[in-house]
Amino acid sequence: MKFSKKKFLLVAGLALLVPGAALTACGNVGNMDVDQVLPTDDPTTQKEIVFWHCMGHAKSNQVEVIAKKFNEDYAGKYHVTCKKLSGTYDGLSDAIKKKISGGETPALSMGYPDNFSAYMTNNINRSVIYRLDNFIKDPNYGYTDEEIADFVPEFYKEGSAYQFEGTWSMPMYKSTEIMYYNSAYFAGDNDQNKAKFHDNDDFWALEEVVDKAADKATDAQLKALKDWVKEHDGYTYEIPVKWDEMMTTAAKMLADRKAQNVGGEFYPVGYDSDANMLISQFAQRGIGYTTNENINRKQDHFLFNNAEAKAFVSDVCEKIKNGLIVTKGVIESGKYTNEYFTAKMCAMTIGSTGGSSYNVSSNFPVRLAPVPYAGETPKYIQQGPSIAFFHNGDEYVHKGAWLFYKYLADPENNATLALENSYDPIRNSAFETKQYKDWIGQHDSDLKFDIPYHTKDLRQNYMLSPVFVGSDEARDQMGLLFKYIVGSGDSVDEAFTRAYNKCVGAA
Amino acid sequence: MESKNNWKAWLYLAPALILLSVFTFFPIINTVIVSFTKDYDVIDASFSGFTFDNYIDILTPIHNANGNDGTAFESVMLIGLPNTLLLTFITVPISIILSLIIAICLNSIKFFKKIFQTIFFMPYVTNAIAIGMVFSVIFDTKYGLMNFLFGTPGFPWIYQNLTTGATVNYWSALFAICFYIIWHSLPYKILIFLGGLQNIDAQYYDAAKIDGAGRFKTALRVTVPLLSPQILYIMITSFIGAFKEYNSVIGLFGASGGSFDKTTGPRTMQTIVFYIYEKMGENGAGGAGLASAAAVVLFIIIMAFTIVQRKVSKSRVHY
Amino acid sequence: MIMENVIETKNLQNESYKDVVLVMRDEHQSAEEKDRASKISHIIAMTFTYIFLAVLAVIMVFPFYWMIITSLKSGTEIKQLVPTFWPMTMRWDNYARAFAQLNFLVLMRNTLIVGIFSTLGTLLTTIFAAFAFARLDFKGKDFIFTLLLGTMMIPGEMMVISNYISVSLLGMTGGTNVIGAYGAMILPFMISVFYIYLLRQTFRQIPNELYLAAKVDGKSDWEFLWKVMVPLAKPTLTTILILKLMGSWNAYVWPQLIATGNPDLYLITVGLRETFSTAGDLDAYGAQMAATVIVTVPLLLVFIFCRKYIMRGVSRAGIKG
Repeated sequence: MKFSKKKFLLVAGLALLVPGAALTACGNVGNMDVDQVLPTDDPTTQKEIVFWHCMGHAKSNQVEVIAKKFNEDYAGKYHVTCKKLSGTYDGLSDAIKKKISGGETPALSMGYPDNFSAYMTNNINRSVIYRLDNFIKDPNYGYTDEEIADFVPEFYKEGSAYQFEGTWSMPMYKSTEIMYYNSAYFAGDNDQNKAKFHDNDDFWALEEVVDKAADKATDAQLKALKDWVKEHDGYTYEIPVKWDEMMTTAAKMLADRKAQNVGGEFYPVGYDSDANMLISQFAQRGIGYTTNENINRKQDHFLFNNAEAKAFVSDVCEKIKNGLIVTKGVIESGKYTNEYFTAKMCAMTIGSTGGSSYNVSSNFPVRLAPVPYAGETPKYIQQGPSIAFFHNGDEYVHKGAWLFYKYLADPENNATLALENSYDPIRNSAFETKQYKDWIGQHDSDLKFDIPYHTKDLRQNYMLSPVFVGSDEARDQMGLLFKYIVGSGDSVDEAFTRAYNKCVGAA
Repeated sequence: MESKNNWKAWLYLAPALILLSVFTFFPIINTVIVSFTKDYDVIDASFSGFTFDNYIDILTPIHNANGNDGTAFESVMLIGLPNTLLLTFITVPISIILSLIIAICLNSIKFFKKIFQTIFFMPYVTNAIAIGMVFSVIFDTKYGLMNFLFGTPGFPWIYQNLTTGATVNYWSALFAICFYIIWHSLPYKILIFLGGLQNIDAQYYDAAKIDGAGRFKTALRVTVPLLSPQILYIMITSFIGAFKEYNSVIGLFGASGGSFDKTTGPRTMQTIVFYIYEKMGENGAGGAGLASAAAVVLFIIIMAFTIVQRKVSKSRVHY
Repeated sequence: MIMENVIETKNLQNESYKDVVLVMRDEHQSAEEKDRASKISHIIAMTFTYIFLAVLAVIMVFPFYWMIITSLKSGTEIKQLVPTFWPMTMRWDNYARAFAQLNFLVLMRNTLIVGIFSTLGTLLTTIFAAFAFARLDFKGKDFIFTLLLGTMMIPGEMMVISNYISVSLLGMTGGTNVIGAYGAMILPFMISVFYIYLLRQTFRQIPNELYLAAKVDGKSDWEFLWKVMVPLAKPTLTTILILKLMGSWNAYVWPQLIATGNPDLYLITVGLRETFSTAGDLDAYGAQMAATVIVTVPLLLVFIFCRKYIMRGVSRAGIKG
């Protein structure tokens, strides 16, 4: 045994050395000061600026175009290389965490605020990303007050909603939620009317009013249909503006179908993100969710374990059980409510503006409406990536990264980038550019032009959620609440306790 | 017996051991160390001290200072462990026996040998995404093959039936995932057994035939014992693999691991490794500590079981 | 009748025939009848075998069939809630698209480089280590082997970060070092405890007498290993070769981590997943599945070709009885 023990000790000794070496290797990032300063001059040799992203084909091509222009303008000084690390945000964040532990950092990277808060860690001196206030306020290379005001307010504010003070990220492009609805169904071209009027000669007139290509019906045609159906005592519905209206309409739809013995699986409302529903509805009703204020212990972050939240969730669960609404959390894994919608199993579905292509159907016209809200003013979720800047030990690399960001945030560049799949640009003036105006000028011809046309009116009402280490767990748990109650049979109290404990127990 | 050739043996072992030291022993030691740390943060390898808390959290429902109300204990001991044990002890014996029978059959047929052998190897090369899709289709509540074959429309195998409100019974989900795992693990086993069968000298079969042994008896008394080194290998490696099951849970139930009626069994199909991966991917400090502790606990369980297996099989394996 | 005749003739001969005759008499059958009976039972057994295999074969092949029909469907058909068992329209253009978008040559080249080197490396380390465990006796043999078994019991995710750090310290990452990147993808996989164990089992089945005979002939351990043991273990070694090559083919997590951002270094599965973004383009699902089918075909070819080598009978000349 002597032999092997020796070998064992050798191995163990080596093993203990390496983590130590790794730690010092990570220390080679030079100035890790959380507040950096932009140098006034430019580097004499070309600096390599690496940008990590997870964009799809079309978007990354556009970024390459922007990068190419940047590289021409700054030839000899800065050179940007864009690297796709993964196809999803989670994959990107995972890869970043692993690469950072191996000592590799990019100059800048995109991601969600939840991810960035993890890179900051709970100790500000250990943060892998740095604060940007000095850059923003820099007299030569920063933004003027007008330019700052040009940023869509909530998008800009998101950069300082973190666990530490200051601005830690800049927005890239954003999406939000919107309601897609089957406008023919609302206008009366629904199954129960077909059943009612089938033997009637007038039935054929109904079909002529709605264009033969059902998905291309114009607003005028739909209105005519609606009037006709109303005259003939058919079922038509108003587009709900508030949450309660939506639920009433849903109940009416079910009742109408029952009155006519219309069969088939049908859930009037679909919601593609349980978490978004709860977070935005809580905000609208003044129900506590999470906070970054008055934090002494980890559990102080989580406010959602309260009576009003439980009441709301309880109410929604009732409605799920009664078939009024169906959410992504309670249907089969891998499926989305937009699939139910396109299969005519939902009359309306609420989903991300970035996913418009999934809500398109060739069988009925799809229209958009803002997500029904509760309370005085609507509050819409904002989603979509931001950009954070990583310590590189070289102030010129930092400068190059910042200058590249300014290109990405330039109103025209940003408009082109965002519009590609119906995201919102982050500058108010982007909404005035030619490309933007041309794009939304085509609304009514395709859903992807419709969306920015609608979201431009929503941007006054975006909401922020506080970001901290563990805020993503809160979001995940919100997404699981309905699973706990409807799937596993938890009571509402039990489900909330479970969600709360998981949030607190999570690292 | 062979002479004692220590230095020669170590020379032969050297390449393997060097590679293993760097890429396996070192990470394992790292894992053990991390399992005793407090607030280990993957991003900068920082931690705030050493503690037994990770193990206490996982193995006991005792509160600790964080206000943690037993989530680790529940995830690992009340959900992860039962799931892992059930999956392992159901799928491994069935798949070994089945693959043994199939391998012997494949070895004894004359026609279509090539076609059959290729077909039985196919699950190994089929893309995991496609497999997940197919099994979802087979076990679909509304349109699935299983419901069609058994004449049970709307029976919820892996996700609930919203129209009837029927929730998923844990055991039907278990059935589905065992089916999946067994299906997926057959090709490798069949391949190994076929290779082993090729090594069996024809003269053993001849002797059996002369003694008048029937087909079945030959298989049981001659083939299986001669295949015992491969069988032992498959038994040990299959059990180890099954204890680490993860991909099938994601493939069939998605990232949440499923949600089942909690009165019929564990509420999800999450296995111990599921918990480990979840904690490793968590943002913030401390997740890696819990994950490492769970990995160590799993290691001890598997090691204990393997040692017992080897002891029990010593008399039955013939070289 | 016949029996009595046989007994009588046999009675005139050697005692040793007695047993044979008794057996035949007890079972009331003649030689021909017994032969026919065994032929019939053989046919029945074979029929059952074929039916059993056929039923199972359908179950085995079903997902592969699904893969193929999915690759020929349009995006909307794939996504619709009621699955179809045959494509409504055959979308051969999925394949055209797959070929166009996937940079096959580069991906193949990378996969072959990584696959061949890591397979060769594995074969070497495995042969040496299995030989040591099967044939040589040394202090701590059982302990080390148990230790090796233990390494199989740790889930892979625990090792990824540590290994990435090790590989970075060795200077193999950083994006610009191509040789280093290949090295990082190959090195950790030039060893596999699973295969060491498998080969050890096979080596141990080789009889001691062969070894002693070789010793008598004056051959060294090294010669014995390469001239006797390796040839005899060919089926197992071929199995290891196939599985290891396929492993490289299917490798995703580690190569993706190493090669991220450098499409020139992607292995085939990484390229497959990265190339087709289905966001906003439903038909990409079909193209992705088509690419998957295309990628699977070489795997099957490798298996079919190497299968012969596994199935080839091994005759053991040398020592009998």
